[in-house]
Amino acid sequence: MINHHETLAHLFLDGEEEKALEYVETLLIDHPQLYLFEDILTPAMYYIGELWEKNKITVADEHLATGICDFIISKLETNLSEGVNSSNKQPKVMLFGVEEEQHYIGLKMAANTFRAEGWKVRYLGPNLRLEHSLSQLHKFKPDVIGISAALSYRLSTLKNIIHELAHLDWRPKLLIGGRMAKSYGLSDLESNQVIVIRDLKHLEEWLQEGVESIYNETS
Amino acid sequence: MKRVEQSLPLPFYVIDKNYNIVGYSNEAEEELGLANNFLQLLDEESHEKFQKMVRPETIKVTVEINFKKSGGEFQLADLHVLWDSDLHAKVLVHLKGNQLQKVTESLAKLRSRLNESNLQLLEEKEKLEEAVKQNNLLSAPFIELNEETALIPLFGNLTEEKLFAVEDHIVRSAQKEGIDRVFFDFTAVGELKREGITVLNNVISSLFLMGVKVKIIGVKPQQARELKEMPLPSELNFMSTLQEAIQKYCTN
Ligand code: B12
Repeated sequence: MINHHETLAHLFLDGEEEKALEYVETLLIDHPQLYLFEDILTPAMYYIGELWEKNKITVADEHLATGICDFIISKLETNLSEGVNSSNKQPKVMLFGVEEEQHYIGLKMAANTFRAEGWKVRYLGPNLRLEHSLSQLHKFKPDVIGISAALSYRLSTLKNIIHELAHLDWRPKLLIGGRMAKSYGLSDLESNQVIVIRDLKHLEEWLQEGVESIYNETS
Repeated sequence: MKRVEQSLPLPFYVIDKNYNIVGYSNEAEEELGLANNFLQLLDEESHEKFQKMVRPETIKVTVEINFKKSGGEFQLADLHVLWDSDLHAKVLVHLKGNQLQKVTESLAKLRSRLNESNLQLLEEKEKLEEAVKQNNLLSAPFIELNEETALIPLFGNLTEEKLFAVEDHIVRSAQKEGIDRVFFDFTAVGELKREGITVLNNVISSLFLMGVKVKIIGVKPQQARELKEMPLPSELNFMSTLQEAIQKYCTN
């Protein structure tokens, strides 16, 4: 069996953006975007992490690989045909990474997943000061806020943010993702307003069920 | 554990095979701090890598590793490790923070600028879409000529999008008590789109069901030919001009 994610990871590390894009586009002929994100690109990035642990590459290499991976995701974003929305109500989501956080690939994938489901998406990127996010939030008034955090010591930052955002007067749902959610569970942060999302499949499931409640509450 | 009296201007440790720190340089103490065991200075998620790579069998090795800083942040460094014997190793630490940081920061800045212009474009696009929607809504005003009769002049190309936008408004307005005749005026209509006419057909069928009579006015000969090929109720009535229609139905 061919290991797509390893092949792709090496194209990333070699800075081969064109080849990587071709490779991905070929995969997309037979597979949905979700498969590409969850079962190819994410494992490719984790595999790059394993290579670092084996002392085969450095963080500088990871930067290059991240750049290529980012390029691929951006490219797919522009190809994305927006879901036809004959109903006028388009739910809104705003996504950002916590302050100082530089891991944003997963967040960007989440943004595209929302987009593919016909949501109105504002992706603000990583490393955002809370005041900045807040002013954007008040302008856009999203139904859902997506936050991502990777590093293990982010817990207190995350708690502060959740505390702050839970008090927004229109009561948006807060989705927490990223490696923190994956490896540390974070289940004690959960409530009926705060949902911890393991991965994009989980997000997709939530989108099927959770959206109902959003339509019901806002209409 | 003792301070090594070598004047190496870099953080430097001596460790034993259990990674206990047995010696250190001034810089080590100042920049990275002290602990009984070297692992305590590292991020937990760097432990495994360190333990795998740093062992007496590998006499000389360079490993990239994350140190924990007091505030919780991490500090990236290359460790140059040399085992003197099975018992002791010298560890020279080369902190990489500042080198990488500059590049990282510029990259991040570029990325966020790109993202901002993306956002601006997106906002403009959404404004345009909103304008189109508004425009569509205005393309089929419901004008009551008298208590029984209403006129709906249609404007522009009859696209599916446009008719979706107006169908609700038309059907709802026609529900008003007394309205029993509606004129659709095609005088200002441009192109007919099959999908659009399909939606119009639904609207007209709903009006029929409500007992409202429908007349189509002002169809150009070319359009009439096209309409024949499209799905419209056969019992539909056509009249050539609005004037004619008004004369017939609105004067008494
Ligand atoms: C590539 C990489 C980087 C890249 C960043 C790339 C990026 N992804 O944005 C760069 C080189 C910039 C980087 C920097 C650093 N990194 Co790094 N990095 C990694 C690596 C190898 C892969 C991460 C990745 O891209 N994953 C792929 C994404 C898609 O996965 P994900 O984030 O888990 O997302 C999934 C879900 O969580 C979900 N999701 C994510 N976000 C969201 C949001 C929402 C709303 C939803 C619904 C879902 C969702 O979607 C994804 C698909 O399922 C990991 C190793 C690993 N195993 O994780 C280390 C790792 C995370 N990094 C680490 C470290 C230490 C650092 C640095 C401190 C190194 C340094 N000293 O400079 C800096 C941190 C800088 C900072 N302040 O943030 C450590 C963290 C250790 C710890 N204790 O937490 C790791 C674990 C490596 C290690 N073993 O030491 N890193």
